[in-house]
Amino acid sequence: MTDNSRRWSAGDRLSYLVYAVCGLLQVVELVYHRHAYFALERTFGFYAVMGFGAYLTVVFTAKGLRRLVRRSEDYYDRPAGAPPEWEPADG
Amino acid sequence: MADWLASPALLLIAGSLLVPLLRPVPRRIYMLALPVASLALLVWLPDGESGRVEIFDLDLVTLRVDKLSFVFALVFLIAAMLAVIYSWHVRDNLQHVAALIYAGGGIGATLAGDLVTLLLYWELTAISSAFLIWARRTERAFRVGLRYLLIQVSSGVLLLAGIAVHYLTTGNLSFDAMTLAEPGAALILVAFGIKCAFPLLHNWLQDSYPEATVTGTVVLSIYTTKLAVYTLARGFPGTEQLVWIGVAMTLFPVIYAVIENDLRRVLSYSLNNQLGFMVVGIGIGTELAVNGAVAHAFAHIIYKALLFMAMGAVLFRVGTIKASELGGLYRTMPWTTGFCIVGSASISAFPLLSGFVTKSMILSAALEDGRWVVYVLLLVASAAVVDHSGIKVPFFAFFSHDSGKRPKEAPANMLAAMGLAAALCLAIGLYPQPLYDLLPNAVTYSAFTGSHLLTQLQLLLFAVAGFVFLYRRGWYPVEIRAINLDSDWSYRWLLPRMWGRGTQLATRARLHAVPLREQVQGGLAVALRPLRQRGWLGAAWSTGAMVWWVALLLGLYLVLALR
Repeated sequence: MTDNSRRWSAGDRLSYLVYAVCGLLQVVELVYHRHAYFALERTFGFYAVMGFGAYLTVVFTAKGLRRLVRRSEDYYDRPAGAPPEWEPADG
Repeated sequence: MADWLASPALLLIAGSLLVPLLRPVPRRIYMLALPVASLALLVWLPDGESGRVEIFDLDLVTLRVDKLSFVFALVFLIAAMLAVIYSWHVRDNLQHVAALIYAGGGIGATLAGDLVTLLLYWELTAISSAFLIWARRTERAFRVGLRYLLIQVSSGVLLLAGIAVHYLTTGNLSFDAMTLAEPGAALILVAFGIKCAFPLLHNWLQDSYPEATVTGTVVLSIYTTKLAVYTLARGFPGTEQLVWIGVAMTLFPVIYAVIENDLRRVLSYSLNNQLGFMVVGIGIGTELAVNGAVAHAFAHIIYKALLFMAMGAVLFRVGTIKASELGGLYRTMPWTTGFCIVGSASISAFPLLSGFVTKSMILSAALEDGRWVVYVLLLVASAAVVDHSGIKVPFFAFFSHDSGKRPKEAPANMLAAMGLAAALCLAIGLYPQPLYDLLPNAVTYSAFTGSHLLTQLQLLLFAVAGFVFLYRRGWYPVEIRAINLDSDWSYRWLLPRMWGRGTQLATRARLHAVPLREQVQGGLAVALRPLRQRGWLGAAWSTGAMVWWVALLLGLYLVLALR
């Protein structure tokens, strides 16, 4: 179990590193004047919001889609009318 | 003139036929020598059109070397070398021969200067590649291969129809840029679109690629779709519809990739998404945009092959590639893990790797063309790439929770192929100028501006932060053993059931028809009774009666004649 707890703390450290780098990049944006093509893009934090927001949107859309399209693995292989091998659990 | 024989494509195709005759060690050297010799021949070929052949009064140009065809043929040959090294350990000659013929077909189609030559090689790639799926030799692979071949051949049939219409109305067979208004052009575009996995024509890709052999999937990922990108870049640059088709392609496969459990299928969805970026570039059609599409195809072939190689190595060693069964493999497969991460970072377009210097050309072209809606949508797609190819594939295979599996590291030849591919990803990313020099249009472009580096890092790292946030909260979709319905549902579930229901209804209708048929038959029997041998008309009549009838007929004739 010691191995397990050590791995989790490594995960913690990695997560905080990612958050720290993100923060650092925003600090850089404060001081560095970046070239922009259109008004919306010029706003502070546009790419940060795009990255984080788009990521969450895609994942939550996918979770919603999964409710509609998920089937058991033998869906196409079993004869018509036969019960599925097992029902996928919610998750 | 028989200069059409000096074709890099024919060299690969003819050369492949000798592979089964060789013993294992010379066979390995020979299989690597074939694409090397083919590359030498490609470089030696003069610029412009050559290899003219006249068949049935058709003037064919079998070899056309210009900047566009050269760069695609070049990357096809580099990828062929990587794939050969990756499959050195395979003893199954069917796969070796099929892969080399398939590569030859792809290169031949790229070098084709006219539509008929293009069609012939187009069909050759379809048929030869199906054997890479069948080579898995399971019932399932056999059915998948049939579905795959059916759709590939449909693309060929549409292309043939388009070429026929085009030739009969214009009398011109050369394969150059066309507009949709030209006769037959729409048919040709749909034929290209099937192979390029346009939305709703796409599902053959995710259906078939994950079902091929370990090495077969790597080879499949190289040619068919990028050949289609080449034909679009050649035939339809600047076609406005392609911009929006491409945007749809970048977005909707990524959503499926998030919830797919088979990691080679995740990569197939991601391949579809990457094709979208190239199609957008071709649709925008400016010099920078087309350059971007071509450069991205070049980089993409290598990093996508690398990712399929890494997942192939996992499948080869573990026997499954389902994310729900994997995890923690980095302990015993550290090299494969490292190479996979290089591929993942390349496809995510991290600075200093190949995807960054090529994809950014397409995004910059969208901005310079004033298409900021397209630009924003491509940013969304780019953030999503970080999820499925950048994080999901390496994370769930090699890290995540420990599956307890301790497979051996991949064989040396697989590691060598992955190492070379990873080195190429780095080389292109660090020093893109040689690739830029190969591109069809002369445009100076630099990906390494301060603004660009900053915005790209922000986009990518905030997407990574999104994953960290969701995963630690337990909101990230768990990997479960399940499949997801896609458009293949229409022909794998709906059509067979409609057919089954139709035949059922027809059978029932026949049963209901039985009493009706008996009544009709009874009625007919009564009506036809006079005609029988012993019936009223069939019996022997007296001479007097006959004379009466004759007289009556003659009288009737007289009345009619007098009128």
